[in-house]
Amino acid sequence: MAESKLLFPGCMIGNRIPYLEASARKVFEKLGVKVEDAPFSCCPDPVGFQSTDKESWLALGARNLCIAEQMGKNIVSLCNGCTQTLTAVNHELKNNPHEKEKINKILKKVNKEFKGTSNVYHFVKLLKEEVGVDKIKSTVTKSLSNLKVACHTGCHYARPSSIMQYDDPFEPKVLRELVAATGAKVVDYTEEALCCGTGASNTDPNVGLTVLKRKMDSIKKAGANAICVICPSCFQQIDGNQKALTKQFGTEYEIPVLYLTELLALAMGYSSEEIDLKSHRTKTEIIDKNIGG
Amino acid sequence: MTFVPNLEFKKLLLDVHLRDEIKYCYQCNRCSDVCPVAAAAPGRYEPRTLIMASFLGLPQLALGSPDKFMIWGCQVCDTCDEICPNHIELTEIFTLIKNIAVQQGKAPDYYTSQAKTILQFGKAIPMQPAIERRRQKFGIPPEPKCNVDEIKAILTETKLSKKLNMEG
Amino acid sequence: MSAKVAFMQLSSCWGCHQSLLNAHLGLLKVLPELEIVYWPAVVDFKLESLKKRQDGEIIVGFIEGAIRNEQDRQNTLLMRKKCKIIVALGACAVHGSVLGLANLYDKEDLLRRKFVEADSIGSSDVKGTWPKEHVPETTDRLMVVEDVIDVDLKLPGCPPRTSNIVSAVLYLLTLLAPPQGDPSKSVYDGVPKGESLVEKGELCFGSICAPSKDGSVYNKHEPWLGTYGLTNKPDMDRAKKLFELLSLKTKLTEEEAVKIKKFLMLALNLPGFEFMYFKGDPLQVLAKRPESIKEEKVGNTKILVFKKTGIKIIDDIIGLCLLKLRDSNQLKFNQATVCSTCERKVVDKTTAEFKRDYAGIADMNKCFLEQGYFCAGPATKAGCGTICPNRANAPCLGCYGPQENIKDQGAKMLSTFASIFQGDPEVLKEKVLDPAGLFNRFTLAVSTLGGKIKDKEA
Repeated sequence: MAESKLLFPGCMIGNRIPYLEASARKVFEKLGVKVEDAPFSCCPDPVGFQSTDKESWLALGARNLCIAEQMGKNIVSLCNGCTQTLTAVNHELKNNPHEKEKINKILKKVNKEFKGTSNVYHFVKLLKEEVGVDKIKSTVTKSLSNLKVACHTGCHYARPSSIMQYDDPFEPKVLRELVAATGAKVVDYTEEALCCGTGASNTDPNVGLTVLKRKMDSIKKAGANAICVICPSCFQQIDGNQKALTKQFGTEYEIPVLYLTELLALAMGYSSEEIDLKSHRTKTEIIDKNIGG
Repeated sequence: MTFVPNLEFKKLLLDVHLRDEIKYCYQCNRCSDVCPVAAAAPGRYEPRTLIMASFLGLPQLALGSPDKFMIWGCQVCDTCDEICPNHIELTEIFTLIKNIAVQQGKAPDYYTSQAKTILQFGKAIPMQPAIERRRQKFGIPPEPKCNVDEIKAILTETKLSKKLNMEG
Repeated sequence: MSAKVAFMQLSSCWGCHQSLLNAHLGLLKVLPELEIVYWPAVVDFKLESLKKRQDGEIIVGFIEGAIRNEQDRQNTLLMRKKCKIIVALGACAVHGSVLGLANLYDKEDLLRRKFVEADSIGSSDVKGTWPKEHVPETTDRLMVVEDVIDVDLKLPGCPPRTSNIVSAVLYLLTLLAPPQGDPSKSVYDGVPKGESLVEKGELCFGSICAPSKDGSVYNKHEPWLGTYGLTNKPDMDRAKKLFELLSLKTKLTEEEAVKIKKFLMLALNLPGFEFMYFKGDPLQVLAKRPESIKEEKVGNTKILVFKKTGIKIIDDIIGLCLLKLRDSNQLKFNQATVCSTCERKVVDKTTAEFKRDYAGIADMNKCFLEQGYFCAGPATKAGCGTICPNRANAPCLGCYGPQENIKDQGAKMLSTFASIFQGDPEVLKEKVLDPAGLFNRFTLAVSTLGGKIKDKEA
């Protein structure tokens, strides 16, 4: 776990909810993960931009990979979407010589050439494979055993499995292991593999909320008092729209959402003020009440 | 007659779809069975009918629909292609249809405005002074500025503005 | 211009028509394109009007049901005469369905049971015989449509799912679209000698393909793969070069095979659908019934017989492509069974017990075979989405029949079950009271035995 990696926070974390990046940096430091910054652009968005123009999407993604290649480093991403884009672009260009030729012709205009020498890690993969569950356990100073956490990996973490090639596409295990390592209890719920509904909201917010409701009902039924996510889009959807669900459907949830890095930070002893939990839309007082000594 | 196949589309589809194996569709409906959007919006969005229209070379059945949701309901969650027993890459095919819809001026605003933002700032969500101050408050380093000129140069090569119907 | 279609009912339950009508208002898009000239269940045209049509006047004829009597046979022959494309709709027409189980009995036994011995017959005017007047003669054996006429497209299933029938109908409608290219020219017209890709040794099908109506420019860096279909006026010199080029290839590379597959799919407008078996789709036929395509020689070169266009050089080139695909092992056609679309969990597909499906209540999450229930999923062609196991907690009965390359679904299922059954075989012999009905429930009529076999009279 020696060499440092290039941090890819993504537009949403870096430019809208930087407190997630703050908790990530704190956690990485405690765990001995070295990260550097680089002048990346938008990954670009695998849902929005890819649907607009695939060729542009490949070209911009390849450019980001070239930046990493030129620095001779691998990338660790804080966001599902960025991980999927960079992994998919890497995969496509490495395996499709026609496409690679086409994109390199475009990249030539900015003096770049894609070679395929850098790899992309989701931060969850990094924590599991390079840091390890035992190391994480050793940094835990607070008891989180009163937290009953429902894990939500989101769609772009392990799907499509032929490209992402990590963890199970419908029954993801790694996030559950990491959450359990903090001492929190992992709760089973039937709709664990279900999408959060953000994508559909782009075109019709009502449909997105209907999908979210299905997820939230399942989580509520399982008795969870916290939800753990690893993608900022999922975070915004689940954290930000619980009140909208109440308005639309009349059902109450009030289940706070924690990014994995925030959960880890709390376990390591950081207070909720230090990681700015009050910025969340769904109240997090329950978290404070459930953190032991 | 609406059932004249769009042969240029069929060629583009085969470029995406036929890599080395021939994968025919059984119309078995598993994709629609597992699609979260099809469950939340029955009758408005169905992966199976989109694939049927695509394989028949009749994308106009989707592109000509007055409800944009028939195409844009897909949220790229990759559940359908994970479950397809013939490993058909449905999401890739839907991306192709969406790209065509954009060029025909039929995309929802969310997508075209995001693309325009990337074209202008190199990021889907540009940095703002308020966020820069917050970053400082948290003690995290300022974000390295991305080279917007390079982005613009690349997107000129891919003719993004033309595809977005931005040119006069 | 609407297409004339006809729907014939033989001995059937009409369920396949109901499945089609299940499309409800979705049919409104399709109906304007169709002119229904015969459909006893729905419109009032008489059989006489069908007989009076010109041969081949009707574009598509759907036949539902199996052939149980002479009237069915005559109607089947009539449909073949009057329709260009025959679709065998449903398990009865394709495989015989449960009607085929009657082949286990002699005709006289069947008629006696129905008209004399049935519990519902009671009154004193029953004379111990069966009606012979104004009733068509029952055939000795139940036959499927293909036993009597050539079938172009088979849609199995009891019934075939609505989405399958609608997709098949839409596909047939796209076949009727006018050519969008200009078939009076070839893509190579106007390309100077020596400049085409095929003359440079690369696989390119421009010589036998039609350009677009507005004459889209041939990009000399990219091989032409038949976007606008085939032409009626091939560029003879370069078509011959293409034939030569192909014939010299001993083994196709993956890239060459992909080019050929794309060409065939585009130029022949092949459906990408597998729930139906379409004789006009040489890729499917080659994958599933390769023995049905014969070889022939053109000069010293072996090709597969393909006579669909009527233009010798084009038919020869396509025949050569098919042969090369076959011999280079590059066809790579994905096939799936009902198990591929099943939601149930499989841990270890073995069982030591055998249960009839009414015994107990099956666990909704585990594979049926693992629980000891007999499920025909492994031997049944995919296309239904596994609705019975997934939605009704009922094991698959096998109503879609086997994949086209399997002759006997029952034998396949029997050997599958035998290989996973870990118990005493005597138990199976004792518990399976009706092997024909269990293993060949829908396909007895087309199985290897086909029914009861009588020893020849000494």
